[in-house]
Amino acid sequence: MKTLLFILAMWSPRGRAEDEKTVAGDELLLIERIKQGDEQAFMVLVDRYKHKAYRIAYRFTDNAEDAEDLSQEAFLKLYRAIGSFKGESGFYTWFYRILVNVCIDYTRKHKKTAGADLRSRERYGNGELTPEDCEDHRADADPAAAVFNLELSEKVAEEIAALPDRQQQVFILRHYEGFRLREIAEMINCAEGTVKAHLFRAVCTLKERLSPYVFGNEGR
Amino acid sequence: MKNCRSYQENLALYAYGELSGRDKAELEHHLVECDGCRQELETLERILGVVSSKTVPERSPAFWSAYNAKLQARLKAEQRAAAPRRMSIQDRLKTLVADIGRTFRVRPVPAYAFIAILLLAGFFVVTRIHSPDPSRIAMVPDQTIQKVPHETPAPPDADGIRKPDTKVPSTETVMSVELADALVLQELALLAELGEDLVLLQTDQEITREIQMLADVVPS
Repeated sequence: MKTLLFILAMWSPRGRAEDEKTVAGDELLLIERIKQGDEQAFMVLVDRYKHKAYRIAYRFTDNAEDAEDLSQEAFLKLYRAIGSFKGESGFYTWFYRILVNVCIDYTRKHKKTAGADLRSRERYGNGELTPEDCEDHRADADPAAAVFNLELSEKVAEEIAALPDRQQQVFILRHYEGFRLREIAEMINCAEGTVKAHLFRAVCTLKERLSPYVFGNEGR
Repeated sequence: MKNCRSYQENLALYAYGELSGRDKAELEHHLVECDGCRQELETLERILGVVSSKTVPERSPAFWSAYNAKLQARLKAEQRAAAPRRMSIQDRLKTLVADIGRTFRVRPVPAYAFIAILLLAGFFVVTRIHSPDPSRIAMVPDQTIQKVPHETPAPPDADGIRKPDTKVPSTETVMSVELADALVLQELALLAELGEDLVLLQTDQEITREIQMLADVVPS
């Protein structure tokens, strides 16, 4: 019974709010320790944010090695700039802003053009690619379907990468990472209405470009 | 009355759960009545579903351990690289500019201008302090600047006793010629202002004679 009450308390809105407050307080202490040069405190923060940081960087780069490099670069920038964190915005917003800027610099240097890469189907035909390579699509029993899905997946990544910078940032942060529009507005330093407009345009573009692949001969 | 196009602009926000209040209620009411907009929403949701299928590969615990180790190594390398390096003049200037910018809440360019003005003002003050009044110098002809022989006290004898009133003629320069000249010029200019008659001494004999006359007039 006590366990049940404890679980209910943890899941009640008040319980969660207090939990968030504790986390924020805990982070402020960690930040103060990092400001004094405590690397262990820094690694605690790294452990807390590295998974999400890596995932966001991967969305921007579509490459594991670059995602690792960029997310680490963001943490190093955070360490260097921690003295300037005044606590006026949330810590995670501040950190993700650093991360997004690192990713933007990367995408500007490595802007992909749609259709520039060799298609998976061609690579499969050349024998360069096997269904085992299609890590995300191993569940597909049909090897051809696995390759098609991989190709579609690549096409999605390609079209997202081809979006204008701001649309790409807003779309990745909203669609994949689930940030609210007002949080994104804070991260990329613009008005919420502008974020809405970017999201709308990004969705329209993706719908237009991906429809032929998704619906094929369905005629939509 | 809104048309379908204006409703469709809100479909993306609706699909992400970012529409609320009256806008949401109006759109939902319209969707019940309009087949075209309902189909558009279905298309959108299907495309976004395909976009969601693009996942980030899961990484193993070993990857994350290596991730931390790499990050710590990068941090150490940065600290090593930064530690022995002394700040260059340019870096110091940049730091100074940044400090001034923060203190006076000005941008870097005005801060540079501020430094330039300070340097100019400093130079002006120093040159004013160390140079004689040019208006006085202008009154004095160059020929008056002469080397004047003078006497120095005799050195102590073997017992270390200095004999009183014993003077030894000397032509040794006891102060820099420039400073001595400047002082003489100032004195002459002052005398000229007071209406004293100035005699131009051009040869060593004339100077010696004038000194001798002064010695006779002034009681020892």
